[in-house]
Amino acid sequence: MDQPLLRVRDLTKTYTQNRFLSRKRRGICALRGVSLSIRRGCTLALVGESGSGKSTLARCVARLESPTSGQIWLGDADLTTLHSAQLKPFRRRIQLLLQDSAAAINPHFLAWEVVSEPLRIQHRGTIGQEKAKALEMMEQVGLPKTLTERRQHELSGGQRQRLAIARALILDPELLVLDEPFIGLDVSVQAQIANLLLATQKERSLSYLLIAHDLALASSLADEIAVIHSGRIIENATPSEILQTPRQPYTAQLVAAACGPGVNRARTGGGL
Amino acid sequence: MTHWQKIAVPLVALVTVHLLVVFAGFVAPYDVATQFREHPYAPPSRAHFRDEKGHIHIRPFVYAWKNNGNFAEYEEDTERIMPVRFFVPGDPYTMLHVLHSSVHLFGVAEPAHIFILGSDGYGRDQFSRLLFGGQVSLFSGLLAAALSLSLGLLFGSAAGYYGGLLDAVLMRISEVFLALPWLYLLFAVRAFLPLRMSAAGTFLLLIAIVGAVGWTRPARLVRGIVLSAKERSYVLAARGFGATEWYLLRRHVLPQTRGVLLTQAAILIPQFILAEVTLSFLGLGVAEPIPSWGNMLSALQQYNVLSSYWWMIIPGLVLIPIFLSYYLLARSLEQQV
Amino acid sequence: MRYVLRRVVHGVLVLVAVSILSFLLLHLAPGEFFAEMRLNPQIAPGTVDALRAQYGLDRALPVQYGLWMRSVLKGEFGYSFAYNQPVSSLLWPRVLNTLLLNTVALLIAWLVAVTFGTWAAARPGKWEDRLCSLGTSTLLVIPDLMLALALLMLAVRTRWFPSGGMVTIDFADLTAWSKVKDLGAHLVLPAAVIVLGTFPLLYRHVRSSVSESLTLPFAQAARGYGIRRTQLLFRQALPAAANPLISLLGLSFGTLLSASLLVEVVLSWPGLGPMLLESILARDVYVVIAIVLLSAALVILGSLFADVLLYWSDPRIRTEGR
Repeated sequence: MDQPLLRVRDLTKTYTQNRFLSRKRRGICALRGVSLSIRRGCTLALVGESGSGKSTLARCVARLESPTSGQIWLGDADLTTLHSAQLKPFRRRIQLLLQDSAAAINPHFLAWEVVSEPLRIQHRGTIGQEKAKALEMMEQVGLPKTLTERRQHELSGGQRQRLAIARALILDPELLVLDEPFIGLDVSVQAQIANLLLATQKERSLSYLLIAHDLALASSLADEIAVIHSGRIIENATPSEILQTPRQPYTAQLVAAACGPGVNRARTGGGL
Repeated sequence: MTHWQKIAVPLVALVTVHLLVVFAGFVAPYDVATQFREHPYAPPSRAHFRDEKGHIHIRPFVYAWKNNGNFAEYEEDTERIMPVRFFVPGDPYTMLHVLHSSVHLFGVAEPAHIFILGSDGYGRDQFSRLLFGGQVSLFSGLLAAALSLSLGLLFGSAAGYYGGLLDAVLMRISEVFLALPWLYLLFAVRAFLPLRMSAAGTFLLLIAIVGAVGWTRPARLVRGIVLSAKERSYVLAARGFGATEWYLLRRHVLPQTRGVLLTQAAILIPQFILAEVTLSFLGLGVAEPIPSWGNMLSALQQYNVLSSYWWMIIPGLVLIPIFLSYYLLARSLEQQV
Repeated sequence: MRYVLRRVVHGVLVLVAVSILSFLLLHLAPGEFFAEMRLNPQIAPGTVDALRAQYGLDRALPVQYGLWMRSVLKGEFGYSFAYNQPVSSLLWPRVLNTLLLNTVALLIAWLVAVTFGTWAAARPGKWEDRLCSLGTSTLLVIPDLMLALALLMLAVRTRWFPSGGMVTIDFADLTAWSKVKDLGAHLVLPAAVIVLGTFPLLYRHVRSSVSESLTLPFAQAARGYGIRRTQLLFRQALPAAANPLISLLGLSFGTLLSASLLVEVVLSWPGLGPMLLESILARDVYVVIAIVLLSAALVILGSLFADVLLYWSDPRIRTEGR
């Protein structure tokens, strides 16, 4: 399949702050003409500092926000032209893993209810079937059976993240947008989660759009890296190219910050 | 005291009171309208176990009141011992609209009367009227609170969730309600509605007015919760799965209001009971011959009653332990939230 | 100053809204209303007919409202059918009586609450604190109506205080000092009921505000250099606690007036309360509307007063406002 799964073209998003009855309309331009593409089964890492527009792009791709202009192609369909009712089948195909997993999970829900919620929303069967599927999914991501009736504050950071991943995978999506999935986790837990993500990607031919600010971590997982700065993609290349021959000065800064002396973490085809 | 005990004790007390009141027909020895004209303002009957001759009786008994024609002085007629019997036949009654019976929990044979809490100006047993009056006062408070909370939930969540014009309009309207002192507001609404209505009509009217007037505070609280809940990340996540607005409200936002609604219930119910009592006391609520604790207390506005017949204040005194229970309940619920 | 003006305008708008709503409510049951008025022996039939032209009693609603508005602007606020005089002259002495009662009760309630609240906050957990908490919690649970009736019973039985009314019959003949004493004696009971009803909640708030400000760094620092306890309480902690308390004051006028309504009726204090009740029962429409508006105006004025007080007392708000 040569055609990329996801194509983003010239995406622009401007936030306007309207103050009631005021003359000024202040606009914040979060994204300016962003274009990128992701092939099936591949990972594109979007790296940039806070405020560069990464989260906005993630939200737009997952259609939780509407871009001001531009197109988002998933396969043959342009998502920007669809309105909410038409979007429902596409929601299954793109899933977003939010940044703060503790905030993204309702604290009153039991663990299996969290994972089965997407099934419930999409009306995929009876409660019994949903629960069974949820338990199966939880097992696949490595959550022991003892945790099924727990609530999110009773889980560790790593377990919570796995729960969020299970929820994101349960509808069997084609593209997973991961917004800073490693934040707040210990290094060893980061490694575990990264391995889980890689294994799942191989199994299901998933594509990932990985949002990160850590260039080192991103380059170990990604097939391609796009560097975003002030709402614009300034460089787009493979990890080894980025790390060894960064073309933009900003990219060079990121590389210098990420890599200590002598650490070359270009992806060679294996995991961490 | 453990936390659950703190909630259970007042709750059990309240449930008991409400059950007593619901089964008033059985528990009360007399009907509300039964008048014993020859015994107006009779003091509470005294239960004795030991008679004049010094014998101890196992079964308690009372003496009939006799007043020698002078209604101001009552003394016990010690000639006849009238034992208190249980499960006696008496005035027929209907409970819950379906149970017909005429068996009462306790009573004494004619010509004595058992006035546990004395009698009023028409010779009606105050204890019986207290129980039946409780049906009106307690349940009008409960129902009015239910109405208020429902309205508050509806308007508060609509305002908080949809925001915009709806929110602005509702907030302006609630401002008008809040600008008036609540009793003045209650009177004002009552003022323009018909004064003389059937008993059932007045009862429903009172519930409607008190409930409709009291929606603003719960609405504001619900609105606050909804406003913060709808911005949470998990709501956003659910939206990402394609959830409808209604699903989000139902599953994620509204359950957060449960705590506030319960606490508000414990706070509002006594206030609304008091509203009914106040309105009936002043003649704007439930009218004779249907007893309510309010109109029973209004007898105290007469000087002679106030100075000589202390038992007429009991309908007001019962309010105190009931309010205490609601107060303790509210405190425990607040701590939980 | 601009802030005050804005609030005043806002208040006037609210009052207009209340008046419009009252008129609308009035027309929910029109026929019934005027029929009852006709049946009322207190209102002479000639009066009703004579006033119909002036107030458009059975003309369209907006016309009635307009005529009433004109009367308001003339300073009359409508006409009392039962008393045969313009509403304003009828209500003016009543307003003063209510204000007198409420101001006295408010001052005493706050005085008691601040004194005991501060005192208890300085001794947290000790028996004085616990006793105060118990006492005020008990009072909180007793309804105002019961307090009024209980005190009335007491007055009637012991005859220590007059059991109602504002002045004795021969008031006009008393000397100035005797007048004051007489008025004071009549004030005791109604003021006491209002105070007992309102100060427990105030006490709670004072106590928690003061004990909170005692934990603030500057209070701890003051204790560090050996300040005397009373000075600490009244010169440092209390002013810091003043902000939320003044806000509380602003919100409390509605409750105060409601309590006063009931007390005035039960203890026969000739204020707005008994007048409202009477005019409701007598279907004296314009009096009812005027009293309702007056009560709203008092609440609005009260909260405005509290806001001004807050502005004046708290230097932080003044700089923020710039």
